[in-house]
Amino acid sequence: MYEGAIQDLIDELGRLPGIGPKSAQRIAFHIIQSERVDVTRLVDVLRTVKERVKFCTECGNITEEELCRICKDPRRDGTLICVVEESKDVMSIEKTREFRGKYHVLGGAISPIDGIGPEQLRIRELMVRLANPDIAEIIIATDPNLEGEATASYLIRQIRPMGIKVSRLASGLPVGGDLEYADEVTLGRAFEGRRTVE
Amino acid sequence: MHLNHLSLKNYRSYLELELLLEKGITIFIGRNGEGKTNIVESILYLAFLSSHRTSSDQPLVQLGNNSAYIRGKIDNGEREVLVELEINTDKANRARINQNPVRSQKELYGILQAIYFSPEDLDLVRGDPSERRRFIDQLLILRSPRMAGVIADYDRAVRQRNSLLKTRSNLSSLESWDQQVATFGGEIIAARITTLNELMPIFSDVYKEISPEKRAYITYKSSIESSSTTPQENTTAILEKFKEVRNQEVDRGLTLVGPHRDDLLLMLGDHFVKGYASHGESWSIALSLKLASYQLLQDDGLQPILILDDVFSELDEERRHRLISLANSAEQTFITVAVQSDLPPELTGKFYTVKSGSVKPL
Ligand SMILES: [Zn+2]
Repeated sequence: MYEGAIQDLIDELGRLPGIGPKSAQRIAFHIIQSERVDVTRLVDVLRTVKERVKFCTECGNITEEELCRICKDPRRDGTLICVVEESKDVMSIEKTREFRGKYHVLGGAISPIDGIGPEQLRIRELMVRLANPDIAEIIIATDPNLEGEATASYLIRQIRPMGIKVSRLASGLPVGGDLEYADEVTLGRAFEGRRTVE
Repeated sequence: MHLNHLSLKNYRSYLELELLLEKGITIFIGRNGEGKTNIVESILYLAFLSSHRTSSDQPLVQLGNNSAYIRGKIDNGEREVLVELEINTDKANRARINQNPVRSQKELYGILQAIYFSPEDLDLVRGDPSERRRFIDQLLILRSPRMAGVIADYDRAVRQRNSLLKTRSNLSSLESWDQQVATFGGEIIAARITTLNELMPIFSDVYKEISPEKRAYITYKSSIESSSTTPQENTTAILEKFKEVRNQEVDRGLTLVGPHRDDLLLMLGDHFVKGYASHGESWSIALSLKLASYQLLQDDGLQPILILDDVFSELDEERRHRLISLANSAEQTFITVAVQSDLPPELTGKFYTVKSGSVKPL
């Protein structure tokens, strides 16, 4: 245990995902030895990101304005909605340039172990969007793992009675992983070969 | 297959251990607590990603350290594979295959195959159903490494479903978990029955050779009525049964149907072995199960490493001979004993003494 401020910093860094006690200590000492101007820049960026970045009121994607870049773009096909778990999945799919519709970001996947049920996700907001009669197809692109599958099958059960076409990404994605691990070609082909859920 | 090289760091009693190994029989002689079983335990960890002695990884890491390392160079007859495992107490374990990090530890299954005999084998006969499930599941994974993924997914789906049942409130997403538990569960039950059907005749024959008086056999006891070798049929049966026991499951916050509730019933003549067989008969059954699984893998064309951990003192002359002839037929065997006099005198191989964590050729 260190004293005072340095230990506080190690504790805070240790709370970040993927950073163990040893890494937290290494980063903390790196910060202490850095130039004041570098540290100030990091602090500013952290403060700004927290002040400016919020969630798109339409789709839940991260944005600095009311609506995100994609929701505002009139060239995007509003009759197609692709449902993903996180904003980073939007990034992965955008990179493939195969999808020209809009998104809905759930903010996670159903995982009772972590206390996350349908109510903790942006599912109610999705249902509200689906009330719009222009919407023709929902593409479910949750992660190809247990929790992603459970979320997808829950959504399918909810959406099907509404008479909207629902499709899932084609197989070929690495099973058990995250969408972000799939390379652009694989993900693009999964989009192309998506199958309608009967 | 055989192990060419084993190296341990901060593993149990070993600060550092480097062993060059050969085909054939290797014997580690040492009193209890001197560290001989730690060596074979680390080999089994490479095969099963868990210890045969403890369910937690904590005791494997030497006190005062956060990580233990096991490295093994495996020759599978075609090429050499270097497997490196880092067992961590404060974060997830890590692994590398031929210097490349693996995304999931599951990728390690099947690289090293091993069958072990140990005093704990008696629990196969006398212990809880979980012991027998572990036995059959390890055999499934040895035969088809892909099953490790199915079993891991199944276990996690059951844990998720149990968490949801425990909340008792909003069960709107229960059906999503029912489907996954039933799909993976149906596949596991089918695979277990398929393997059991092949293991059974071998097991009965082996037992008859050791002890000809009574016939020994195994039946699969399932939590669904008509379990079969067709995954889809089992899945349907699990989903049906879920409807039946829904109220009970919600009451108890537990998934009551599926392979995690099943058992292998060991039978001797017309009796259940448990609570009926003598100590000697129980040992014969346990031994026959292990001998039969080794033979089944050999029939599959596999050459698993054989590990005989501290079993000779438990067995009579005839059963010792059974094991020695098996050891002679295996490509590589590791034996641990407390004293050399426990070994049959005709046994030949490379002898090491193990004393306070140091290993020396005899
Ligand atoms: Zn948006």
